[in-house]
Amino acid sequence: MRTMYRLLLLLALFCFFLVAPVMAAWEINMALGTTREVTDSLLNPENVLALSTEHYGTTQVIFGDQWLSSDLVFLFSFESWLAYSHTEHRLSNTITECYLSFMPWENIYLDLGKVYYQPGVGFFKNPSAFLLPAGAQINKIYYGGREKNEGRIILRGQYFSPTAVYELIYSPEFRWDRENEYLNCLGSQQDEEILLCSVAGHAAGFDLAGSVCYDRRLRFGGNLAYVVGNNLELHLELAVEQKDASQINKKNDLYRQLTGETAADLGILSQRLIPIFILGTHYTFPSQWNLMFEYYFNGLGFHSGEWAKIRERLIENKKFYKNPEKRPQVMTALSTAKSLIDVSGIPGMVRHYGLVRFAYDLSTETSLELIGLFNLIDLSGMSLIKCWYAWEPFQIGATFQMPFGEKDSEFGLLIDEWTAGVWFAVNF
Amino acid sequence: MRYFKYLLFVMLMINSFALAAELDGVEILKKTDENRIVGHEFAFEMEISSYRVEKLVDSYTLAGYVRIDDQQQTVKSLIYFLQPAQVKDRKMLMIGNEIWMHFPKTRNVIRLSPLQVLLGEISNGDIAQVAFSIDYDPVVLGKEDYNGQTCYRLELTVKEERKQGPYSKIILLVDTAELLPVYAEFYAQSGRKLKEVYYKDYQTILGKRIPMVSEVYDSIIGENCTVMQYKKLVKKSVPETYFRKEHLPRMSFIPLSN
Repeated sequence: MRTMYRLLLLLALFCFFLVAPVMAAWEINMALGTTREVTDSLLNPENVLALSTEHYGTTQVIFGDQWLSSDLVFLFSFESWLAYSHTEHRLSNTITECYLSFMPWENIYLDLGKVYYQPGVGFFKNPSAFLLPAGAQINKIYYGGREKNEGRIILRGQYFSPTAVYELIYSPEFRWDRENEYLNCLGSQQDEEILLCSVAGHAAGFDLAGSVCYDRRLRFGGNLAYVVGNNLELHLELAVEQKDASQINKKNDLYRQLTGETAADLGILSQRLIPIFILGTHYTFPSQWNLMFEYYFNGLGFHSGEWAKIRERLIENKKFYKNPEKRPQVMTALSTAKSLIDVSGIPGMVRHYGLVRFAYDLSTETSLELIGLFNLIDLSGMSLIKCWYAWEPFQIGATFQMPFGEKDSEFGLLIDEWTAGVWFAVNF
Repeated sequence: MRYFKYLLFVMLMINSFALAAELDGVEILKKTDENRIVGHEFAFEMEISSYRVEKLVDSYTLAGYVRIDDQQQTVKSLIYFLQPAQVKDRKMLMIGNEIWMHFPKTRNVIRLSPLQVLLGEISNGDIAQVAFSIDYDPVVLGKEDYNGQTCYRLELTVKEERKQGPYSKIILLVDTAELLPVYAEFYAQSGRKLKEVYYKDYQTILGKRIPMVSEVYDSIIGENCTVMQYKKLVKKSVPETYFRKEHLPRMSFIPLSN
């Protein structure tokens, strides 16, 4: 633990004295937090506090720069993350972005390298962000968050025509020996090759974008945004995917293990296409308040009847499941949101979710944000309160996270938990 | 007596020519816009400072690149935030009343409403308020004396096709001698007065008389004031592609020197 911390400290000092003078941007984020009990929620969509331990801390050092030469751009961004608690520590170093961008002909751009590609028009996770890994629940809600924006190795061509922008992206499969620590600095492995083409434009006040993606199956995406009057913004982000048999089998396994039933009668089995979409609105009050509502339809989630059956079973076995050793194999693996998504590929357990976000700048330095995430089937949810104060170049903030509603639902499954933390950031 | 009749006739003729030469609202507004715009393509560096009861509470520095398209009757503005660190590298594109923002950390380009506040009394849409005649139809309400200057009092009503704009009506005082704005009141769709703007510190830049300072007062809390001050104003052309929302993630700061 101490060695690791020293290593990170050394890296920070290295950045400060050697790298920072030549790097345009770098930042250090530190967070400390505590949970009342060990976090055991199945879904922690925001993953605000990063760890699932009683007392914990994280230190993150990010540095990067962009070199420009007429029509040539080289961008490099590196992140070092140390997560520590009284029981464990982890250090990860990742090249989050490293790419070359140039303009070989007028209005045509080519990008080659690891690029963080984030399409979309809303704040919640965009279902049509096909190049992001399934587990990347990008924390788009926060303007000043500490999320890891890790890119993907791609070759991208982008053409700006007078009326629309066309893109063609190829991302290769890319794997290596996970035991090799140095290669692990490259970040997440790319398990499949992806071909994506998209077109985006603006007509009659609407921002429109459509995309087609192929990665062993076809996926279609669409984004739409429109402003009504002076205060109201509306948006839609949509993805329709061909059914992935392995994903459905995983879900079926999960259902069987959670309910103990062997009958393969999940609603999703009869579906050919999986729709996932977000319909949202953002209202700006003249007094600077911002209120946002988003409805999230998760075509991969359980139907209300299926979810009721799962909850019934979980309640019956609550005491039994409280002992981790006695939990079903799948459930043990699903003790955090990240593993839920990694194991099942399911962004949430049920079909219908709601998000309410309220943001208000108390002053130009102080901001307040309240977020409520709702499972609309049983109306349980997660509330998040975040406030921060900024004085250049520092920022200090506090976060509080608490599940509410049905304790046996996904946000507060098995135990009633809350999490609180403070964080400190320096941006140069 | 005969000479007196001739004199009277000549005076009447002169008076009628003078009346004919009197500008109508459309011409006044067009000339007012022409007088304060340094060109169809220009760039600026601006400091926006927000005051609460005369105390400075915050300040932004930003660079702006403007392109005025006479044919399409649109103003396109690209804003790059330079300071402070918490907003640095944000980029904003405004085409007419449509606004997009790119935050460096969230990466995707989001759509904003024109009334969303940028700082203090300044909305996003106010930064690009460079040409009144594109969005508003004027009517001359008369002349009045304002701080020793004789001014036209114009009532600007938003054009039917620009109803999406943040202000439904503007009362604008324009100096009759130089045809330059000195004061404006901005009204919401509801008829409520939102803000008052004082155009000050006129300087000759690139052969035009430019108000280097605009003081914006909240009409409800009159002590709250935000000052927009040009630090630099130059003629500069930025490629048309840069004024596309899809290009915002690629954009980096373009120095204002030619």
